[in-house]
Amino acid sequence: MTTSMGSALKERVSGYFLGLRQAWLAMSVAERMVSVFIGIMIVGGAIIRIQDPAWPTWFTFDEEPFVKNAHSYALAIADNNDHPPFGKMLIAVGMLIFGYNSLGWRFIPLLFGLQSVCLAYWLARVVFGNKRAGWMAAAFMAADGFFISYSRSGLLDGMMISFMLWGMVAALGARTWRGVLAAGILIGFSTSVKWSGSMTAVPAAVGILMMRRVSIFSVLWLGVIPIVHTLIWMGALRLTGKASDPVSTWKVIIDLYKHHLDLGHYKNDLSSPWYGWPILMHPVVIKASTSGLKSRYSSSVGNLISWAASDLLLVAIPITTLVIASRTRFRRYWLMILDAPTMRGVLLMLVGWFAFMAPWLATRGTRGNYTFSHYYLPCYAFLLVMLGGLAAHLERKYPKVITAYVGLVLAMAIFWMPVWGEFAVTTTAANMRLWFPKWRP
Amino acid sequence: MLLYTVFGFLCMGVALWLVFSWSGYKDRYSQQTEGWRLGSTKMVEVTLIRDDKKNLSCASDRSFEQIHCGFYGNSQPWGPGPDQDSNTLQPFNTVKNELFLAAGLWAAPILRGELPSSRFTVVCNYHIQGVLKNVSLRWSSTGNFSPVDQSVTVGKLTDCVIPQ
Repeated sequence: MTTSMGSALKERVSGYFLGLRQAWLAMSVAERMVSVFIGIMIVGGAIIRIQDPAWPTWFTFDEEPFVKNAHSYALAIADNNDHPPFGKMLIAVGMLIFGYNSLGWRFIPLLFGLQSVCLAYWLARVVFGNKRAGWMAAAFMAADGFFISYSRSGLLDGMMISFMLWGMVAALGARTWRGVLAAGILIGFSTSVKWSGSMTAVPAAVGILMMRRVSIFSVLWLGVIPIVHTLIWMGALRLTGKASDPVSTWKVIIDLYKHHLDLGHYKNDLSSPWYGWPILMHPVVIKASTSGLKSRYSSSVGNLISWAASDLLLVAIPITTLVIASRTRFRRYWLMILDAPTMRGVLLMLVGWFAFMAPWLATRGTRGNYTFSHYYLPCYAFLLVMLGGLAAHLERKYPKVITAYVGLVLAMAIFWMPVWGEFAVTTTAANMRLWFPKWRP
Repeated sequence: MLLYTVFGFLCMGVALWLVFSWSGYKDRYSQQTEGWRLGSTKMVEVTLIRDDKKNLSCASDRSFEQIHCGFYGNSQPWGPGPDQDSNTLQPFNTVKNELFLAAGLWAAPILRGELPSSRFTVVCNYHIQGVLKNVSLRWSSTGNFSPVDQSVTVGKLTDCVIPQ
């Protein structure tokens, strides 16, 4: 029995490697180069996230309120932070394992940061129906400082995005109403980390309707999101000995909502308006520490090549779509470059981008400029998945262009790595990468 | 596959609950003082007046090795008191208003002689030996004990000096 299982396993593994070898041999030189670049970006991205996340040993950026409230959950004390409880409860798990220290409060966000790279693969694969798109999206996310810095900090955004990606994968991969229900539960988790996570429902619903793999009425199962959210909140209130009936819970939620609308009165030097996010007006240095003559930074400046390409597409694709919609004779030229399924995936990712921008546009009247560049993190995740899908599609027609592009993304990542992954560098070396005063700590 | 994923997350939720319950985190950290861990030593600056030797008391039935409060939970005296017994716990506040229970302060050589008549501070090493829940405190020798709603660290003070 054991021998037959062992030989079957051996056969499967050797079959897998044989398949890999055949795929490698079937590739052109350009495709092989891209594969190597992708491999370096994914492995390097994982290593850079994992290496020494516990440094510095003190709170950086917004860690303090989240960590202190995570500590409170572990001790059953009431939460006084202005975000939903789930993210802090998850951070608390790391602290229960490693104690009240920097490794403890950064461990769970790190796990979610690593998970997001895998989920970028999965989402791009589902959206574009292409494994290569998945590998490209995972590589772009792995080699991007915006995601690296949030993977290495005890903050909520990385976890919210991870659940957002889970929700999207579940929604787009759903074959029955149960899949949509699963998506609703996962988006409920995302919403329970940060309210903005609820916006995942928009691209998820649009995606379900576009894909038509399940009945369009299945979308109604996304109505489970507020139920999951309320249940998690009730559990958190119960854990901390507060009134946890539905009425009391809703009162807590409504009070917090009003508080959020009122935040426009506050001032913060790190804030930036929504229109500043796509142009990197004020990316925050999430972690900064100095020892002797050298400093260690984890900047949230993204990979400039991916950033520039995604910004360009952000403008070009809606314009092109409008032109095609109004003058159908352009359609065939456009379809020579991008086919309909790829275009559908691209548009869906743009819906995701817009869904996460919309709250900040809508609440500008009350929130004013009290908004921050990390609100753009989910938007940018959609753009990177879109970029992965496009790059994989275009690689078939323009392999050299895509090889050069992916090579540039990798080169940029290698150059920026010291200020993403907290390498000890001089101020001069850091400033060579953090070009503008608003990019520096 | 996705249902398995959601099921996996729910299992993680249950596991999380169990970790919360069984990790002993509440026995390692107090609710009153953030980050003060069982077994660690902290340098604390305690704010005092001369009469605190007899004014400050705690009441609880629990003991940690040899150290215990000056009163049982039912307010009956336990031992000869902090003046004569260096294992009697008393409540103190640091200059940062952090509440903790400690024994051994008055055994420090610097506090055996004439004490300052006005409020003063003492810097000591505080060795954390436990976390006490359900303790009652009083801040004057004639006052009533009032319960503290959060857990408090318990330990010994050594190497005390009055900053000059």
